[in-house]
Amino acid sequence: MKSRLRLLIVAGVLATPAPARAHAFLDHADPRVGSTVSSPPAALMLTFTEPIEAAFSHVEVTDAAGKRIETGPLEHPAPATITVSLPGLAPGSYRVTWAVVSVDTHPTEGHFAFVVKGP
Amino acid sequence: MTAALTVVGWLDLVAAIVLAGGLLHARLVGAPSPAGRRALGRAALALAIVLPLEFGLTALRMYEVSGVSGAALVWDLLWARWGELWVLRCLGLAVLASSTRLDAVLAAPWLLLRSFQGHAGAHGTVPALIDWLHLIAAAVWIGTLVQLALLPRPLPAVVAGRVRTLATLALAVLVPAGVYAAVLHVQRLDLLIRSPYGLALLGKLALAAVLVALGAANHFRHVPAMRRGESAAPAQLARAVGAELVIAAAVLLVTSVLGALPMPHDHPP
Repeated sequence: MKSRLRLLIVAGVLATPAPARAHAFLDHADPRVGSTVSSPPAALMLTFTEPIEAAFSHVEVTDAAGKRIETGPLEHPAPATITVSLPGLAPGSYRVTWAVVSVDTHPTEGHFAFVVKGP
Repeated sequence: MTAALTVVGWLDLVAAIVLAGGLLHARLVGAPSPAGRRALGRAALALAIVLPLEFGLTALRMYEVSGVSGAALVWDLLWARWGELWVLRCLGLAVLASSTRLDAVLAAPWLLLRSFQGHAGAHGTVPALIDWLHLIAAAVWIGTLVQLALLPRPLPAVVAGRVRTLATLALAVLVPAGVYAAVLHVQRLDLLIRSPYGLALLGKLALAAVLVALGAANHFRHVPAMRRGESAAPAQLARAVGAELVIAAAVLLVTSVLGALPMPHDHPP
């Protein structure tokens, strides 16, 4: 009887739903959202709340003057993560604009900024 | 675009439920009437139209979002997870529509592909499997009601009794699976009234409550009355089944709206 009860509790815990959003939203980024970094990052990494389709997703980086920064090709190292390599960024503030499609084909978009500190 | 996809998604859901539920009815309850067989054929035909339409609308949305166009757009979408599942659904439809002995066996697994294509599938395997149970139960309930409604009058008490048992079993699966999905998608009670998703979910629950009440009337009143041989009971059951099907269509429409809405959440970073 006790073992059955334990089994039921374990099954209940396993079946307890974790939060779900289905539409992919930014979970975290590196460089972090709104952060100031002391040295220019070599790459930008964005991790979303759901797996995404890289073929229909893109990321753009612009400087404080709105000039587009030439990044490397978009890579998809994990189901919910995309990365792009960055050229050597000069000190200043940068805006990252992303638009992604979750695996159930729902599009989402957003933006954030980070700052590269001067010497 | 979202409205068009919602309507097409609704037609997809209704046709899939009528087809899969009807095939399961044929295996679990009895052979469909000629009108029931025609309904299965029409559901398959509707899916043969709706599935390509859904692919086209989704491709258009991907073009709007990404700028990818032409053959690359079609290729990329076919190789996306949604596209792979879409191809499998089309192949499965061809098997289901071919009236082989496999159709009733494949009807339930075929619905799993739809569960993996949607919100639940985006969140993981367990939510998709539970969504699948919810979908099978809905298909069994609504699909058997459609077949019951299309039987020649007066409705036979034996068939009504079998449908009553199946509907009760379906409800026993529908409710816990639905509660799981609701808790998965709406984490706090206040989000039920503070988000479009929560409000649509409340609408679905209200309609589902009416559906359950009509089902309860069938279970506790009309079908037992038919068994007792009361002459008015078959017509009362037929009217109640007709009302259930109208409400069920509305529930499925709200379900399609839910499939298009983002889950309620706090603002992301």
